[in-house]
Amino acid sequence: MINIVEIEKIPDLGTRLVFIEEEIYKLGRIAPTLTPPERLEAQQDIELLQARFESTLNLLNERTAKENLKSDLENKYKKLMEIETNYQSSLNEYRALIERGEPVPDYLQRVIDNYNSLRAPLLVDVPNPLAPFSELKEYFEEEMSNLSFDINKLNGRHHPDVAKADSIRLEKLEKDIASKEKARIELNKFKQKYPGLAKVNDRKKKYEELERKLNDVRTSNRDKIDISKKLQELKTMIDYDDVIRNFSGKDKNPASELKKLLDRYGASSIKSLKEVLKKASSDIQIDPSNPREIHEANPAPGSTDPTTATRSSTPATANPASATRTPAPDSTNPTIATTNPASATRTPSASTVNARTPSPDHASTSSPSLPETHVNARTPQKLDTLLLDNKQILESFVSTGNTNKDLAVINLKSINLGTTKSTFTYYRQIQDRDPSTGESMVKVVCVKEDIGPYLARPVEAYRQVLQDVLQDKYLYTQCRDTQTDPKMKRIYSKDSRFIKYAMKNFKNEIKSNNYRNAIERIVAVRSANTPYALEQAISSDIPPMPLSKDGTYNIEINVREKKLLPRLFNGIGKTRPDHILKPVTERVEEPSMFNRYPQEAYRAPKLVEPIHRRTGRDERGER
Amino acid sequence: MGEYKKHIENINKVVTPEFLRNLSKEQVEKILGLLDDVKKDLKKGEVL
Repeated sequence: MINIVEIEKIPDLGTRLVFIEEEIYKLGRIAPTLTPPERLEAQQDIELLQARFESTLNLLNERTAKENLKSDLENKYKKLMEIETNYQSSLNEYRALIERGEPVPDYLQRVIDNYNSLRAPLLVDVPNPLAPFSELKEYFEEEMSNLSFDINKLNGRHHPDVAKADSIRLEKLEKDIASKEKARIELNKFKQKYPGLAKVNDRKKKYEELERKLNDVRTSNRDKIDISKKLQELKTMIDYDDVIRNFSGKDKNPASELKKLLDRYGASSIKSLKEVLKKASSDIQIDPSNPREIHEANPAPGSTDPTTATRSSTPATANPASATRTPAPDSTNPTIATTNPASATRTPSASTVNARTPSPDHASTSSPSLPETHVNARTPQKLDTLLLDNKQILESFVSTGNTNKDLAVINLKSINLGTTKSTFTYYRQIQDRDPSTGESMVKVVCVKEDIGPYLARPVEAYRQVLQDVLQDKYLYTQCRDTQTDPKMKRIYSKDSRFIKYAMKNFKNEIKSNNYRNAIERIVAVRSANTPYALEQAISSDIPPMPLSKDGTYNIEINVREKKLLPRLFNGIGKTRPDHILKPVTERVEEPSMFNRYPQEAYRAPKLVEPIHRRTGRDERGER
Repeated sequence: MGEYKKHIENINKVVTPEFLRNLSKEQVEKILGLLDDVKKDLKKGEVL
């Protein structure tokens, strides 16, 4: 048997693997002897471990896919180069023969004739297969470089040299952008001074005209000075034009170049990009099992810095005033969808984690009419002590409303959790006016999409989609395609752009894997039913989740919101997924099997000479 | 429970980023399978 003290000294992968297997085997052996609450805690521990390995597995799969893709591209590129070289030399030979008036041999003719048909299969995935070879070459090289970059990233590091080169590139781009901006400002000043010369051609014409005037000997000295001054100003304007235009070309535009660079590192701002590059230049490795670290090093496109992230905050913190709820979604009564202050009580708090005190009667402590201002004041709430599973966490995500008064509520119709073939269907209600009558009404937008292929872990995936939906309030206005359902007052079918948008962000988020850790932390902290477990969960190796601006956690679920959930789904009628949205408060009232009998009663008898069924080894590791 | 925690902590100590980085797909899948078995054991216990 290997000792943990020894194992920490032995970096050998095989030895460590054996050690882990032995430890897992021991866990399996102990499992039957645990009491139910201990089992739940143990299950959480196992799930956390599983998540780390699953994360690694996902990264490995992604890396393999990228490596295959890169190898495929390399092969294609190699073949393409061969074809091109052969073609060019044949073409030269062909031209020489034609010039000399000599007959062209068949093999030469064949090479030239077959050029396109040979290239075609290699260019199937190329966006512009008819582009000149130089462009195709550039495309392949860029793609391969990007893939190498991604593979390096998945291997837990950026190539320091690449990062350094990109740092220099970033500096140059920043300067370019600054000079372009300066030119634009100065040009605007001139434009105000010469309002008739807004167009570039007008300025040039005017310049030529003034030049002619200046050359005219008949003008007085005073005029000449005046014209010279104007000429100089026009010249400056034209120079600024040039500065702006130089950067407006397809390739030279610093903004688009910068965007490419940001996309490459998955950074959302120059600041975060600089941090990533700084880290990468110093060859600091990224923990593949720690999605948050990857996220921080490479924040997802569209997200902000971890310190100011709104996308990575909990629904409560992202939308602290989640006050808009409609108890009856199919109602046409506009008053129903108005803000319900009673539901606006979810409050993040810096002291939530430490202040957590298990209390079964937490339901009674939530004020049913806590005004919305309390949300903004971030009043600490009584903490939930329930053992929450993913579904319940999801409920809390789903229950998040939107501060936009046009959006009444986001509801989830059904979620098939835990599978890789998940269909994500949800309804979102919006307050709108009937275009024909002008009457206020509640619209229900139905979104249904198979997101299975992109699922890493369903919960955070759904959460992200929901957050995207929540944050992009304008999207609902695009949902204009009507589809009537007798069970609904009005259903607006999904809008393709809407879906595309949501899916795009969704994919990015999953790629960066940046929510898993937060979820794990929530699960661990929420499911802690003893002070020790809570302490462990808080002080575990999982880094704190970037949930709110001040870096605090928010692990509360407001009890009143939980109560509200069934009402929301009742409103949708048959779409209420009882199996998922069982009100959490009901569970509290259920007689707890943990409390009915002393824990000893549940302790299973210890096995004598346990032999593990998988390894066939006993406690001492012997067969 | 103390013993259980001890094993979990032992595993966590060994499962470092470097360790994970060097694992092959098969190795990860094997450990996941083992963990899944333990989870099943725990669930089985609940019924009892």
